[in-house]
Amino acid sequence: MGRRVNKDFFILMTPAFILLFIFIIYPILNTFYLGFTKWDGFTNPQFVGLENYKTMMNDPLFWTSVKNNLFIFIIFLPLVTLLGLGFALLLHNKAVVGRNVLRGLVMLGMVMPLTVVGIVWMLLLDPYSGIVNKIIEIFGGQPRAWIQDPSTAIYFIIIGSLWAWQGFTTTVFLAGLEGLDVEVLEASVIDGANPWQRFRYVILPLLKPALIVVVTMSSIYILKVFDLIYVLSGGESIPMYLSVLAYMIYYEIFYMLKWGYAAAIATLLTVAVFLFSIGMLKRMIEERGVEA
Amino acid sequence: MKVTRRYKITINAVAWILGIILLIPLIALIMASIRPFSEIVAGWWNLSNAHFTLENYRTVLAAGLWRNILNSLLIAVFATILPILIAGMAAYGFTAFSFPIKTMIFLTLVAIQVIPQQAVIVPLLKLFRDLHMYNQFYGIILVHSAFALPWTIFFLRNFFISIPKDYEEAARIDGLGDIGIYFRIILPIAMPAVISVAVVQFIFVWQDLFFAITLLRPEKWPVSAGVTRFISRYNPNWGQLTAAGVLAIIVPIVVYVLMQKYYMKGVSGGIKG
Repeated sequence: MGRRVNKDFFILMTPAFILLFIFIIYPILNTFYLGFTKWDGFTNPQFVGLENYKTMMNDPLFWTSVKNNLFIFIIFLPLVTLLGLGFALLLHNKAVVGRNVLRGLVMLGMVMPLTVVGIVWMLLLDPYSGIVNKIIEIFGGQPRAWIQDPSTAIYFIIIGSLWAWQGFTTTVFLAGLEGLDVEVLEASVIDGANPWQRFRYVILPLLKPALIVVVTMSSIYILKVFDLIYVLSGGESIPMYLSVLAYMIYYEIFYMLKWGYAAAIATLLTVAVFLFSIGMLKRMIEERGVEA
Repeated sequence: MKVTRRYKITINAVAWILGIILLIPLIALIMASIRPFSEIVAGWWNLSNAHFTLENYRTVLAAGLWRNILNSLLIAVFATILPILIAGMAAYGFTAFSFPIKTMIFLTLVAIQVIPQQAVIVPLLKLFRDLHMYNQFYGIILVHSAFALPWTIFFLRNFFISIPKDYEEAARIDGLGDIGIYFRIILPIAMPAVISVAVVQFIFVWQDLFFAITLLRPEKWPVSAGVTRFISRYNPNWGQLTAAGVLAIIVPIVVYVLMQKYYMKGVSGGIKG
């Protein structure tokens, strides 16, 4: 149980709460409100009720964005989870030589800016200078202009996100595996458990907390995907068929000057992110408690 | 468990083949940056008749990329130090004191960890215009600092509650106040946690694109945004583009390599503390 508040308490807490209030709490509440207004960013916002949300329902760009968000999400989430789990099991395995170096390689995509991840994959997937097409050719496949072709460009976003984010999922699973009790594992071997049973009944239950963090954080990460689409827009054209909600917000603010509309989409994105986080946040609080 | 020789060879082969696949993108980036354009188009992996040049690096630095790198350093250093200082104090406040609505405030803090940057950008742009903070380094530093607070407070508080109360009580008997106890007793003990938070936050700020391009004009962009100036979707100059990319990742990679242990702790902090 902590002590009663005194003057020092306020000195300790005040700077944090001023910053949080000015730059996060006030703006987010303001965003919710502005979502009900028509506003170009310069004149006074006009209250229009649910107008922006109605516009959204009939806006093809909005539905393209939602569709892209969903498509990316559905492919990305299982793959990034499995990749992380696989790498973590390998890196946890004492039989593997040079685990520190391998760990570094897994983290490579995660420590660099996503714009550079984008540059890297633009190069790898390039129709002329790209090694991906070269490998496909060697195996007798048909080379393609992956990024320039509208039907495949979205895979650039998925593969870039995977390379960048599997470092995170691996790290979280690795931390979860640290608690793995070697004796329990040995006992299960003596009891005659095969590798699959060992994984299913000993390792998996242990990884449940890590799995919740991985699935939640990866969902949030991919819902917010923006940088790789911006990378594609660098230069001469804006690939609107690749738009996602986070990109649409940017587009409505800076290209269309529809700040009220942008705020409405931002509200929606925030609500979606919260819905995906509830499970994890509840668990964080249960585990850590809120009282010191 | 018994480990057979065959098992050992197989698992190492699998691990290292995957490792090399993960490394290929970095090799591609470096190779393309040090070879002339004609050789990149013929395939950077093609080593017959290879020439190496630093021309691309000279060109992008002369085109102003060095400025972007300095901007990144400035923003990332201050947006790391400031929030840690402030978050540490608040985290200690949460650890050492009881107060009404503490639970509610703490829950709010935990919840706003996940807020997307896009959720605040519209009002922030107006605020920045009104307060003349648009295109100012201190503006973006303050925003990054605010966004760092929820998770850093949570992370540091989880570390602080593991510190035995004896230290605190002994210091109190010696006549130290709460602020003195925080700076002279708690903070030094918590140094490993502070370094973890610092490394994660530094790399995170270095990577940021969204706040950079919305709150700053191109001349003040950090290098994460600066590299996009060299992108061309249909006519890429690979040499310059990849040289800019390499220059943009040197600092975070060096920081990661030197601080690997702390970085891992910081990243997995959500579940391990």
